[in-house]
Amino acid sequence: MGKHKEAQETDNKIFWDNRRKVAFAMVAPAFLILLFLALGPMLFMWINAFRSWRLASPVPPRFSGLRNFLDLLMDTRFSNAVLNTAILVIVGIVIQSILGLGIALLLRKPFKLRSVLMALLLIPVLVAPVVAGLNWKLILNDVFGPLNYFLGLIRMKEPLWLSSNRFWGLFSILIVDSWQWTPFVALVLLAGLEGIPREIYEAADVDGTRPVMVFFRLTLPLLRPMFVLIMLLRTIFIFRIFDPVVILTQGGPGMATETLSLLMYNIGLKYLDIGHAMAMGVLQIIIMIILSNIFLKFTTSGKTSKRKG
Amino acid sequence: MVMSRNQMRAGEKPGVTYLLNALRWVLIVLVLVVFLFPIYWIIIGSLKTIGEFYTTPPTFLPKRLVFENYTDALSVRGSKGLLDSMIVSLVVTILTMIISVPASYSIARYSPGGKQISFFILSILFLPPVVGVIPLFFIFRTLRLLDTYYVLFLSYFFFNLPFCIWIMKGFFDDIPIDLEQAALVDGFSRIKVFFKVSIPLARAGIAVAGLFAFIFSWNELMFASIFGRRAVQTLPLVLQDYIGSIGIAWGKLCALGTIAALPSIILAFLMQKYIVRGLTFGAVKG
Repeated sequence: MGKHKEAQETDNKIFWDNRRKVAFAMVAPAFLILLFLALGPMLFMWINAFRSWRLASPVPPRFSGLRNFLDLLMDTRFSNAVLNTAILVIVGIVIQSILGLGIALLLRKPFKLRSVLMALLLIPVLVAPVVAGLNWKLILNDVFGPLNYFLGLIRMKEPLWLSSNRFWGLFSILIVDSWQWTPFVALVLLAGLEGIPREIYEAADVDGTRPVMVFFRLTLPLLRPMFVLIMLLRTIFIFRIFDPVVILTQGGPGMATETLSLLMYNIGLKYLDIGHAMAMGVLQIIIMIILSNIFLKFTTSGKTSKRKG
Repeated sequence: MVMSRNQMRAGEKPGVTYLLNALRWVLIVLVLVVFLFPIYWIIIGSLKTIGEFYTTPPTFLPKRLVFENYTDALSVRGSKGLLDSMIVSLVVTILTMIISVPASYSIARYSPGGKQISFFILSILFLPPVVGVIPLFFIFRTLRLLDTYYVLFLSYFFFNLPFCIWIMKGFFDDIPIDLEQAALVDGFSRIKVFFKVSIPLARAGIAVAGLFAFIFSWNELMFASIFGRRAVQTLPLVLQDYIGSIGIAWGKLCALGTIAALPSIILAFLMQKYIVRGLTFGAVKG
């Protein structure tokens, strides 16, 4: 091989080494900070998930094997919280995706005040969750609230939103969560719509494809990466949902609307039962890792189809 | 409504298009009303007397607007909350961006350490806040950081860094690599390419990530209530204390809630032109 090729290889080597150094230097601060913040909690969680430890009792922590996990899996309160969280995640994502897609399609064609309108629609997500939650408590109040007043005007059933049962309680939480996050979902989907290359539509137009078919065969599949992002982010956020639940229902009536996040808060910070709280944390992390891997599988396959455009 | 010919689809009559357009506007207004009514309810609540919260039918427009709630809300604690929130959120947002922009770029471009590092960063978001709070409390207590600004600067990275890195990664992913290579060939150094080519192209994503970093720090309650409390009191803590044992101070809550929302709203309006394009992961063009 000639001298030229050799020189190029050295060049490539320098190029690559340099690149690796720069790459690591750029991630290092974020990685180290997160390692510092996460290492303690992770170790603490994995160790104490296998120990029996109540901060309020004088008994020192001791190893208890899988005891905490077995307790949780037998506990109806835990399965109840899993059920409620699953309902919120699934119904929440479905409602917010459908409504969000509707709003995105409404705003798709540019008009003069469109960006102002979007900024307005983002206001719900900017309001402090404490204020948003309490304000919805006012709106949903069965005696003084405007919502039941409106429902009364049009002769509809006026439910006891917050205090009757699981259905209305979870429904109320979903209303608040969807009010805050549907505009965000709509914006992500709108961004996705704007990102679809125009040529694809022109091609479909030439072919004479019906608008309905264009929507289902072209638009929806091309939005897949956006839907994956939404599912991932919304699942993470709904697993963490806390303020609306505490403020609206406190998990009640009874434990009808208790979510995993609220139960974990109660066990960990109220009853100070570290062992069981950390075992719950371990279970939740395992669930999240499985879910996110499933979601991310969809992104990669979605991305290739998008890149073709 | 003015209609141009190219807005009409082939095979549709002008009348149908007109109707569809009218329907679209009706729906847009409906969406606005539904999503902004609760905001109206907060603002109008801030101008009510306490009695007007308990009327049937509800008071949609008070006879006399009361402004005392605002003067009350901006008393010593309210102003301190505002100041503390401002300090914490601004510092956290700026630091978050300084750290997460290069990290996000590096992960998108070079994925150092393979997929593991980026998944590790995402997986921080899976940790329930309670799992973070208890051990971090002991760590921060040992470091004597409790109830200082530093503890909030540091602990808000826990959520902000992974979130921002993941949001921005999508934008950096979409910058065509040829563009950067062209700049390298032109004699730009890697650092210069990053600042002069990549950052400007991803600025919309950076703006949106920054907006959310600000909002999350501004509204965060759990860490603030456990790591802060006395010397450092952010707005959510002050707001939470309006839930008194004898009842909720609704008027003050709504007034301080309205004031509290203003900085984020101003920020959102300043960035409005980025918002749509900001979330356009796929539409970054050279």
